Amino acid sequence: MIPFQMRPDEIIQEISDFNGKLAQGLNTLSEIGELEDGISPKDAVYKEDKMVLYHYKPRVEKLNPIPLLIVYALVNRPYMADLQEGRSMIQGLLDAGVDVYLVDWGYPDAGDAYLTLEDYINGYIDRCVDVIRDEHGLDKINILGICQGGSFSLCYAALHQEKIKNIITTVTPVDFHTKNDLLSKMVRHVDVDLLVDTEGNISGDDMNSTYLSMKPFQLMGQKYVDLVNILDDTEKLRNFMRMEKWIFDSPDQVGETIRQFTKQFYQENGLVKGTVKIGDDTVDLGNITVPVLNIYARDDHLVPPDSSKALGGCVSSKDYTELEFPGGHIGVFVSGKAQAMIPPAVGKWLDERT
Amino acid sequence: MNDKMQFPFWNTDWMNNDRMNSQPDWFQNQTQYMDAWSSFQKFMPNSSSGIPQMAEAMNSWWKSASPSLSGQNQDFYSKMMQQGQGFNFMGEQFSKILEGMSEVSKESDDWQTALNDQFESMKSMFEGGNAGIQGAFTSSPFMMGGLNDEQFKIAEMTSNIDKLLSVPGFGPDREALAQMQEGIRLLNDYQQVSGEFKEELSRVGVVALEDMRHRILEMAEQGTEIKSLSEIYDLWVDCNEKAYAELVYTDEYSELYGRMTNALLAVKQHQGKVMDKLLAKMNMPTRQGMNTVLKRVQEMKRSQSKSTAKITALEKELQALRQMIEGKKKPSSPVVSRSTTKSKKTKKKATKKKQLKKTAKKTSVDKPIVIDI
Repeated sequence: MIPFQMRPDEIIQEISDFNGKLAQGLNTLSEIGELEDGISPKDAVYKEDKMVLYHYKPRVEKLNPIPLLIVYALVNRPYMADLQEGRSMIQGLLDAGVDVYLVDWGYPDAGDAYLTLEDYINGYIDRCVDVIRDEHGLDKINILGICQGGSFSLCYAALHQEKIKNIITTVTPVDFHTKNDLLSKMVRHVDVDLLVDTEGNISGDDMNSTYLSMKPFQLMGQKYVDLVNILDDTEKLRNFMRMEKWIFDSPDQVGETIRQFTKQFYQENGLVKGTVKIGDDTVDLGNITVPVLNIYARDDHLVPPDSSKALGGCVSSKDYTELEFPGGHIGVFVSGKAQAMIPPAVGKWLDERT
Repeated sequence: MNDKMQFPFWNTDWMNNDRMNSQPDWFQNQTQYMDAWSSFQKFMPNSSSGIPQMAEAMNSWWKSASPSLSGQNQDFYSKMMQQGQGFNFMGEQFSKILEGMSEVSKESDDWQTALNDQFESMKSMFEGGNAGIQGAFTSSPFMMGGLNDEQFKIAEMTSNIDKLLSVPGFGPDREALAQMQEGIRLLNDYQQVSGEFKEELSRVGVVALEDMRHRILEMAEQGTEIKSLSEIYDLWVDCNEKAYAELVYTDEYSELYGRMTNALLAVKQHQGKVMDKLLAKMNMPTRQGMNTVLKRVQEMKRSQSKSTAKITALEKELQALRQMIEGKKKPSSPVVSRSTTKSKKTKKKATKKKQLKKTAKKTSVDKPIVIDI
């Protein structure tokens, strides 16, 4: 039988309804108001250049005595981990009794173009770790890295393990040459020296275009067409816009750092090969003997699970745990399912190792 | 799969009723659309009624409504409008298919012919590098702003006189001529590889449409019904995503993408160099000069951070020693140390100072203690 069980006038009606909803949606959009950048109260405890170290206010009385430093990626903004009430990994961690600190890298400009991986890892991160150690009178603290921030955290732990008690990686690329790593394939033949020498910093818009080009028809098309059906619901639209704001809130990428990161990690796959150089030091993940919790997302299209799971074969830790989240790269932080699963699991894992 | 399935269930009665009165085509149906268009009126500061085409009407409305939005909301709604066009596009195409089916039903009952014809027509829109609506989704990422149309026109124009320009220059303008020739060559290289890239991407649309046609025929075989344009749109997106993934995960695409990006960057770098020379002639700051300064500043900053870290460690060590000497507190190891190595050094030094202190006590209480740090 013919599958089309509709008439042309019904198609017209559907389009009319679609366009009508689109127009009506402007009213709803005007009711949304300002969207906040993160919801949990926090204090800036250390600032250096554009980097700010935040300390979140605890939500429970009994805190894990070892604080946790969250190292976010250089791409996008860290409020994704604290997006909205009930959809905040940070809120969940605070509820689980974790004393949370977070590194916010800010928005680099041309004046930052010559910051290197050494400046980020042996510089900013190390000084943040020292500030927290000083504040708490501790030799070691916990560290949690998100995506690229996870790769940075691993490098840091490999070079400064004496300051790290436990390490948690979330959706973190380790093996950059796995079969389904489209991002890696895309940059494989790009002349990164030519790119950085020509562009300097790489604009956030260009980074966004690259990420959206992973699934362009869904991310640039279908998503907005589907949205029309919730344009009359202020709260749902507000939630959508929070996410939309985050997606397109993309800082420029520092030229020298992206040069080093793309060449050493993406093109040479140096993290698993043990060839990544941070300043004069070579990163050997085998140096990591502290407990490791590796959280990855089963349906991650940006960091394929195999890329994250490769960590197990690289570290020397005898206490290595993997946690698979049944969702995607962003869902692991913002979905309702993740709120119930990830922060309590992290809190428990840390408590058991304190 | 049977490509020649019959057309038994399609009810075309609606086309003959009084309401429609005649065989509708897309543009006649706009009349019906304009009824719904009234819902837009209150949002249109300068309503221009009577615009015949839906897309034009939407664009017109958007032009009127968009200035009232803030920048962020305007960007967001622009995307919505763009994708709305995609939705309209699908509606237009499938309306034609359904119209075509009504035609054949009267004569041959062969609905698949109408389906195939319309799909062939749609495919032609994507062939030959003309990605049409698809281009909105697959515009090349990592284009770093790309090149504007004017530059392409220049490249087309100059490619014809490339041979003429290849004549070696002489005299005071020799360098400028060589620079111009290099720019033209790079532009031509980029244009060529950009054409290859667009050609590859345009195939996605064709492959996706062919897949979609097959899936529709499979649905017919399985008795699956499509009851709305949204379902058709979702199917189209799904087919495109699949075809796109089949292309971009190949090594060939990776190589082509790299070549295209590098070719574009070569053009932009050349332009930057030309601009720098111009600026230098005008005695103005150049990009190269700025880079030198920025690099030096960062190196100085890095060096300063390391010095500060050393000073901080020494200050703490000194403080610990002072406390020890003054006897106010028991000696305590510094809380913060920059590395294990430094920590060990500190301990060594602390031990050395302890010994020194003991010796000092033994010799003379009044004698000043010289501490070498």
